[in-house]
Amino acid sequence: MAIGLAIAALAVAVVLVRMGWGGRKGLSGAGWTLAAASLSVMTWSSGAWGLATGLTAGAVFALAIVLYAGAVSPQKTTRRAMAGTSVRLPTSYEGIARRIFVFLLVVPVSFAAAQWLAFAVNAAMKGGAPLEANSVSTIMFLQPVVWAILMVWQMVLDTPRQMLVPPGLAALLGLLVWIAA
Amino acid sequence: MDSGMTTSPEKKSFVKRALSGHAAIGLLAGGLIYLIAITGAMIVVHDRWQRWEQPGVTETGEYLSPQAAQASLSRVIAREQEMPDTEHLYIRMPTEDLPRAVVTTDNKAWYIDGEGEVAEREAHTWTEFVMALHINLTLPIIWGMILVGALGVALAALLVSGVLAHPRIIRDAFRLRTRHDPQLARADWHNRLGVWTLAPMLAITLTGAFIGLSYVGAGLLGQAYEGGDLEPVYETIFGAEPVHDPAPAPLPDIARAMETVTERFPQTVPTYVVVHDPMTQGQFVQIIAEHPQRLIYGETYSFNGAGDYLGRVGISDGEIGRQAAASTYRLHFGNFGGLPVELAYIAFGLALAVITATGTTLWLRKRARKGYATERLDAMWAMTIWGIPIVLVLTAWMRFLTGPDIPLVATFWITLCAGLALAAVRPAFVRSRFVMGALGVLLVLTGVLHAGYFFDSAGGVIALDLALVLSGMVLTYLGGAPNWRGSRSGRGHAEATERSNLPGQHATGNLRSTGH
Repeated sequence: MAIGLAIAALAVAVVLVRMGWGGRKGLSGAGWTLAAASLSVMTWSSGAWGLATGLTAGAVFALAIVLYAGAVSPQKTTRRAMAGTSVRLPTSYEGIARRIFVFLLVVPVSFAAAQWLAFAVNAAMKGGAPLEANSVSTIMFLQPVVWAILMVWQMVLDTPRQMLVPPGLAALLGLLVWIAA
Repeated sequence: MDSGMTTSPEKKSFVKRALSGHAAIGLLAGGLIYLIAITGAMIVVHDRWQRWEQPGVTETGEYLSPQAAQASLSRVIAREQEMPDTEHLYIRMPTEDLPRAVVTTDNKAWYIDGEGEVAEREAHTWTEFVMALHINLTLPIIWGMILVGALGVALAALLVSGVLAHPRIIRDAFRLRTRHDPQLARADWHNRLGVWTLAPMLAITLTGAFIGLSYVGAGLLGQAYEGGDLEPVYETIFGAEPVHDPAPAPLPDIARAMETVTERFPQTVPTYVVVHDPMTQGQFVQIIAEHPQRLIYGETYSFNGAGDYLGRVGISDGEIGRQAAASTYRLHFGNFGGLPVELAYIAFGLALAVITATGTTLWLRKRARKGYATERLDAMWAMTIWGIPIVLVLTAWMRFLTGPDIPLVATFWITLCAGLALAAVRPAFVRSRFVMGALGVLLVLTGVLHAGYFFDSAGGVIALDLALVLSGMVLTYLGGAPNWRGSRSGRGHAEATERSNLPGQHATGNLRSTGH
C-alpha cells in the first residue's frame, strides 16, 4: 500500500517538476521535494528494493513525459548549424601512436591503479583476519567505480602527461592505505 | 581518449575536453555497447524467450510439489544411465515467466511435468546464445565477462562525461524536437534519453561491471591469500560446500527439505533445488528461495542427504557486503519487480541502444559536414545498428528450421562480419532505412509465422509474437518513411536538409554549437 502510494506520488512529482521546468521554480522545487520524500518512504519501508523500484518508476515517468514532448513537438525543418566533430581520426603515425598511448593510460593503467587501490582497501578492512564478505565485496564494488572515475577524470584533461596524474594519485593512495593497513 | 590528441593546437575548454573524451570512448566502444544493449533489452525476459523458443513443452503451472521434485531426481538419473555421473543436479522451480520445471545435470537439462516425469530435453539454444552475447560476447566465459565488465565501466564513464560535456543538458531536459532538423533531432534523442535514464542506467552498468570484473578481484585475492584458489574467496559471499565423501548413498530426500523450507520460511519462494554430489555420502542439498521485496537473488538453505536442516548462508540477513553482492544480479537484470519492472528495463535497454546509435551517427554526420568521406563508415554503422538485430532474427529462424544443435555463435559472427564487409566494400548497398525496413519486415514475418505455426501456445508466447509484429510494423513504417517524425509535407524538406550535410553540398558559415 505504502509502495503504491509512493509510486503514485512519484508520478505527481515528475509532473510537477515538468510544470515548473524553466520558469515556476516553486512547482519544480515542490516536485523534487515530493520525489525525494517518495523515494525516502520507499527506501524506509522496503530498503534497497524500494529505492530501486522508485528510481525505476521515476525514470519511466520522466521518459513518458519526454516522449510526449517528442510526439507533440512542432514541425520545424530550419537547419541549425552544429559544431564540428570533437574527435578526428588520426592521419599520421604520430597521431596513431598518441592515441594508443592514451588508450593504454585510460584502460590498462587506470584499470591496474583502480585494482590496486581496491586491493589496498580490502587489506585495510580485513587486517590480519581471513577473507570475509565485507572486504571481498568492497574490492569488487570499488574497482569498477574507481576505474570509471579515473576514466572520466582523464577524459577532461588536455595532454597524456596530465592523464598520468589520476591513475598515479589512485596508485599512491592505494600505497598509503596499504602501508597503513 | 582524444583529449589533447587532436590536431587542434589551442587549449580546449572543460566542456570541449569532456565532449572529446565522451566521443572518443563512444567511438571506441560504441559497437560493442550497442550489441550489449540490444541483447540486454532482450534477455530481461529471457525466460519468456525460452518459452517462446520451445512453446510446445508440457507446463506445470507455477508450482511443483515436493513429491514431484523428488520423483524427478530418480527419473532423470535413470534417463542418464549411459552418461557420466553428475556432480551437481539442479531443479529449477517453475515461475510465472517460465511455468515449467527443469532438471539440469552436468550432462543435459530436462523439462519435467507435474508428476516429476521427464517430458522433453531443454533445448533453448537460441535464448542461451542471446544471453551469451550479452554476458560474455560469446567469448570464453571469464575473459568475456571481464571484457563486458570493462565495457560497463566505459559506459559509466560515458554517462557521466555525457552530462559534463553538455552544459545545457539539464536546462533542455524536457525538450525533444523530433520534427526538427534530423541532426538536431538525433542530438535531442541522444541527450534526453541519456539524462532521464542516467540513474537506473548507472545502477545497471555498474552492477554489470561488478559482475564481470569481480573475477579479477577474486583472482587477485585468491593469489594473494589462498594460493591461487578462488573458491575460498567466493565462499565468503555464497557460502561453503562441506567436505566431499564419495562413498555411495541413496538419493537425497529433497521433498523433506522443500517441506521444511515451506514450514519454517513460509514467506519465501523456492527457485532452485541444488544437489551437490548426488548419491554419495557427502551429498548435500541447497534450496535457494526468493524473499519478496528484496533485491537479493535469494537465501540459500542447506540440508543433508536425509533432508535435515543445517542452516542458511546468511544472504538475507548476514554481513552487509554479502547482501550487497547478492543484490547486484536482480538489480542488473531487472527481475525484482515482476512484469512492470521488466518492461521498464526493456525500455532502458532500448533507450541505451538509441543513445549509442545516435551518438555515433551524430559524429558521422558532423564528419560529413566537414567534407570527410563517410560513406563506408556510414554503411558499416548502419549495418551494426540494424544488422545485429537482423542477424539475431535470422539465427532464430535457423534454430527453428534446423533444430537446436546448429552452431549459432559461428553463424551469428560470420553473418555479421559478412554484412560489415559488404558495407565496407559496397556501401551503396547498405542504406540505413533499407536495412531498418528489412528488419521490420523480418520481425513481422517472424511473429506472424511463429504465431501461426504455434497457434495453440500459451498467451505469453503469443504476446511475444504480437510484440514482434508491432515493433516490426513500426520499423517497416519508419524504414519506408523519409523522415522519422515529419509530416508528409515536411519530409521532402527534411531529406533535403540531411542531404545538404553531405560533403561538397553543405552550407558554410558560422557553426554554432547545439550542445553536440
